[in-house]
Amino acid sequence: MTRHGDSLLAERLSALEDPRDDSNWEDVLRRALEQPLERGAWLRGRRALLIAAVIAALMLALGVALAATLGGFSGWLSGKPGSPASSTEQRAFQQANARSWASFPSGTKLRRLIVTRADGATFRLFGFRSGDEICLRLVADGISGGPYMSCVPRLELEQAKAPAAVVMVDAAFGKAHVKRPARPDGFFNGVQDASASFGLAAANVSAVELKAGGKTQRVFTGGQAFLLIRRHVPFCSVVDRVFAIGAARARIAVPFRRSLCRVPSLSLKKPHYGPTRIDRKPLRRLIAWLIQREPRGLSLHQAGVPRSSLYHGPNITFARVLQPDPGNHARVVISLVGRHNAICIATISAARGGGGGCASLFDYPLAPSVSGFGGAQSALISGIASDAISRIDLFLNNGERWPVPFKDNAFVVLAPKIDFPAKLVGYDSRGRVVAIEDLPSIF
Amino acid sequence: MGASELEIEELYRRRYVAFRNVIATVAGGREPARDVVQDAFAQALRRRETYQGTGSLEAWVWRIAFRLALAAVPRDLALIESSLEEAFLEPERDPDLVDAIRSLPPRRRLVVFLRYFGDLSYDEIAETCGISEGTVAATLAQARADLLAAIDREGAEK
Repeated sequence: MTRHGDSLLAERLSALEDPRDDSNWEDVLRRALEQPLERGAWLRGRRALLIAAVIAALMLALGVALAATLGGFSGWLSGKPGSPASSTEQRAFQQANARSWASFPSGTKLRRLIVTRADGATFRLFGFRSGDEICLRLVADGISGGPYMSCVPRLELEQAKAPAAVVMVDAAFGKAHVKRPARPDGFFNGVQDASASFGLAAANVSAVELKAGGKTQRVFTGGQAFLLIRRHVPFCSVVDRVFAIGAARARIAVPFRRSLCRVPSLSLKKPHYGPTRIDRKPLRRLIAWLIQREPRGLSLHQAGVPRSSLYHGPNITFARVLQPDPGNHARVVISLVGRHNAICIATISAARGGGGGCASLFDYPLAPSVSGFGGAQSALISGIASDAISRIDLFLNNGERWPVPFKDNAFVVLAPKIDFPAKLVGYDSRGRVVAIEDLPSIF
Repeated sequence: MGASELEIEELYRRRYVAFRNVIATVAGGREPARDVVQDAFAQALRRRETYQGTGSLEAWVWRIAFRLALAAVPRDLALIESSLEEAFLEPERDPDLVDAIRSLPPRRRLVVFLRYFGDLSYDEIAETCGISEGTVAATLAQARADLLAAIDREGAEK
């Protein structure tokens, strides 16, 4: 056959081709979310549903998490969800991590989970596991704002009762277009360019449904995570319901803490669980190594923390940077301030910024601070305790009791906001309760 | 490995028309082909985590589309000749070629459509059909020869 013959054939065949483009991507998305499973999969789904119902009944009786029946979070706890980040993406993360005063280990590998576009902006969701934290990082191109990073504790996933975990809701991108004048209550109406809500999903969760402003939107899971981008979002149109859609079409409510759009009111609810009475007032109310200025942890210089960045910077006479929990990247700066050597702390977290204050250990042998306002679903509880305290436990509002990592009199623990109000309890070396601190649900 | 939603969306936006036109020759018309292609991409989205990444994403979606098209037409490929016209824009413009295509064995015909309507390379056709590149080349060469011979023959008869 000659080249001429081939060209002739190609030309005549192309004349028969239909060039009309009747594509409709939204229709594909709709079908994907509504598409019935194939027969085999449907039967498997039916069988799974039946088995799940029986197991769920047994498990609920045993108090075991339903998440396990849906594949659980094993992918996040021990596997490799998504795909490896590109070298450029990994490098950008490493550079940002190296600049942080509370960095993750240098070998932390980023996984790419979801890439999606909305009105010309591209959003990339990454994830990684570091120690006892599972973190998500959302980066956007083509719109201002971010990156947003938020972590959840490993324990939360291990004990999860729902097959999805919300990590952050209503993270704002772009500009806020404020409508003036203000409303009678002093707040403004307006529209935010974009907002993002994201989280983790168990292996068998195919989609996640999020309801906000009376509208329900479904998003696919990818890399065992989910990401909803909303554009042109009215102020206070926050995500208020989340459901995980399981393989057998099960629709399971996912608990989370709504983000606030008004000034929070202090919750007066007392924690339900944990001891309510002090067994013994502690005698040792100081931190000996600090008074003796032992060089524990790192100096500010070694840790790369500028003195000027600390609230009491000019008046600090001695400071050390501690990492109380090797499984948590957060650092606690403990310092002596002023002529009277007041003990002050500052907490540094790559995911939550900083926080802290000064404590009187004489009056309060356990001095916690809590950070985690906004749409992040975990709160970082950090602080110091006097030498009288040997062990600290966290009692959550769901009845769970978590041991709090505690070293050199400093502690940090990441906890789900949904499980507040909570209670920190300090024990002495003989197991007696020597301090109780209620942690109200103020966010 | 898996494929991202964005990658599948990009493939869809770039290649939808080619998918529809090729599938139309299997599904027996433009409308059923559109339905198959929409379902194929929907299924690709749902199952994107199972994409192994060992071959091209496009070939993976082609295979899904063919599987759905064949399931939607519960007959042997050879039996859908009568509806082949429905797959073309204006078959009456080139009845000789349409007849010649109809006379091709189904497998040979499919390779022709993947090559000329789908604009797939030899290795992509090989991956999609699960055959070697050499078989693709030989099949295409034979199909071209058959088609050109048929066209010449019919032209001469007229």
